[in-house]
Amino acid sequence: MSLRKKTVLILCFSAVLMVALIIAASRGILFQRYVELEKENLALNARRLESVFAAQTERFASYARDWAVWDSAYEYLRNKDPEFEKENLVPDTFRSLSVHFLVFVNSSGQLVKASGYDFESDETIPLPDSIRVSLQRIAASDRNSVKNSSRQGILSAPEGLFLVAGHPVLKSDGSGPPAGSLFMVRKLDPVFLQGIAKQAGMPVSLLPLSSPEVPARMLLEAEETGGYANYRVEGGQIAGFVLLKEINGIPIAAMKFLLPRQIYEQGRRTLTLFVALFAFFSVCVIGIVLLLLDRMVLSRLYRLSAEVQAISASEDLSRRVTVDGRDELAVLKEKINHFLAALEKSTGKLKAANQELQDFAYVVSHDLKAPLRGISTLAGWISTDHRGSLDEDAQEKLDLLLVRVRRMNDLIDGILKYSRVGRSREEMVPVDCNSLVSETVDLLAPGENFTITVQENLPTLVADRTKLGEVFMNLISNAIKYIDKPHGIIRIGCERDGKGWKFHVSDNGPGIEEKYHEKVFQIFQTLGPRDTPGSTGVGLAVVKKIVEQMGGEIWIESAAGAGTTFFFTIPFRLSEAELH
Amino acid sequence: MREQKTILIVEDDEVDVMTIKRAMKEIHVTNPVKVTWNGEEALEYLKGQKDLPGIILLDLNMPRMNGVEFLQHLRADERLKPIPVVVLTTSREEQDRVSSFNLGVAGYMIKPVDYLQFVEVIRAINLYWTLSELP
Repeated sequence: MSLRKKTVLILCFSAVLMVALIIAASRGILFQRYVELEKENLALNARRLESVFAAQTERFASYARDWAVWDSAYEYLRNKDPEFEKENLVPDTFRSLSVHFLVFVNSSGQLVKASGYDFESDETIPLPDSIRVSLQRIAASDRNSVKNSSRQGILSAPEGLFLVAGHPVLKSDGSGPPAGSLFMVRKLDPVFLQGIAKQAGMPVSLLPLSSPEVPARMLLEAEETGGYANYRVEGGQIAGFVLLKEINGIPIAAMKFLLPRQIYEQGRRTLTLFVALFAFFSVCVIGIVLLLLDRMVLSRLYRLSAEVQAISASEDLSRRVTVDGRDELAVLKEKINHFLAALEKSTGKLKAANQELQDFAYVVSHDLKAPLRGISTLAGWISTDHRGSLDEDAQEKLDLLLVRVRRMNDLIDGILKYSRVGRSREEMVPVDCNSLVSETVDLLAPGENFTITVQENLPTLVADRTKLGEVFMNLISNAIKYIDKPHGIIRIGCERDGKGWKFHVSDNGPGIEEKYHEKVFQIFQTLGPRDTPGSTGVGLAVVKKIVEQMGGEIWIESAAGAGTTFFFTIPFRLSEAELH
Repeated sequence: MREQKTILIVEDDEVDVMTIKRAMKEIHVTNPVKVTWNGEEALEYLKGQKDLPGIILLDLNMPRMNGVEFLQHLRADERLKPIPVVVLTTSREEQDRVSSFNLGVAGYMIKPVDYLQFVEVIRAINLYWTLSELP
């Protein structure tokens, strides 16, 4: 993954994280505030509803007071004047008062009159028994009380809930003693609720406490805190509940009201807007940061990397990287250029040294060999032209001289060969070792007294064919050259060994003592006598150099008299891994 | 050898010159031989000569003007251009061989140390010169 991609990813990730955190925080803090506000609003509305309800109740109470503190009513309770009934207990009265029942109870607790009229259906209705009983009980308690005050509240009956307002019946000037009690009873019917709803400005419905809609905890809370409102979300609205209590203070029903979730919605909108804005700004900021980072750091880093890669690919050390600026990158650039310069300089020196060496080898080849050839030629001529006039001793010395000259020539050739291993670079090609080894053996033509066993299926590896051939050539020819048995056995094989091939060339020759195992690889080191023809001590030095140049190693396993095995390794190359 | 034309030897090593001469004698080549000791001398000789030599045996490593430089001069000269040149050198350098053939030499021989082998080389040159059609 490129640095640029990483940076973009990190920045995007942090932006997402930041937005997520902001969303979480705003939900947790801000949104919670809105929810609380909504609750408060609900409570406020609950109180309002309560007061609307209380106002209604109070209205009935005032009607009851007006009627009860009245001489006519007083008289009526005493003598049950039918004129009073005819005059006052008419449908118009019920309609104007908007009550359903007018109940008179005398001071001895007897029901004097219970007139009922449903002004909606326009017919008289009977007072429910349970209400009558309750009213008589209230009247009785009124009788015992010293205070002549009104009483109002709710009563429940199997027929439904009823709003009751009562007052002791007094004379018009307010003097007693009370002749009894007057009650106005209003059924809590849909019409009444509609009136409440209209006043409160929100939909209101009445629920028995047993209704599943009423939150169970509401009763508990009401007991504990005196709270009346409770909270429940219903679709897009929020429902509140107000507890209604019977006249004796026992909770009897709940009034449910619905409010639109204005505050909640507003909160949500605000929050959404806030988060959206924040996300937008985050994107903007990150864009700017990315742009700046790219301009100031990434693109330069990218260029630096590209330039270094280009230089590495071209292997042209005279090139330099060109990042501008005055920061660490510029310092890095300076350092890289410095290293490049140093590398260029040392490479140049190395090249010069190599060139010198090459020139030296050339000089050796020509300048040392020319006089040698002269010596050889002249000695040869003396030997042939003056055969008659030279005695045997001189002739022998001349022959010795010629052998030495030939050896010197071999040595010089060896030096050239050795130095050429380091200089010549041939193409790396897939080399089939089977054919390479068999060609080499054919070229050496070992003769009848040799058995050469070559392992089947030698590998094909990517190498410099000439040099690899030279390795086999030298090892096999050494085995042939130094054989001390009437029958020579040479084995050539190969196996996989870790990260490369391990070849071996073994013979049944004289073997090499362990103390010479290192020495034989040094140039001009031979174990045979001097002047052995063709034995210059260059072959194994060349082999070692080639093997090491291929990245391998060479070693000997041998003991004197027990034959010798040469091992050498050649590491796999990338292309070779593909070959196999 | 061919029509008794002159053989020009450009060689700085006296023993090598002796060797060439002796080898030619041995295989009965009787053409006149002209020896010049470096490229400059050879060019001077060629420019002053009306009858051009039939073949040039050229050493590469010589003082003052080496074999390759001599070849460059030779090939630049219209009159001297057609003379066949056989390089006779000790250098086994790839570079020398390549530049020699790039300059149109007819052969590139390595001087053997052994005299008998040297004779064989001269015999091969003679054979080539005798059999090959020349301009």
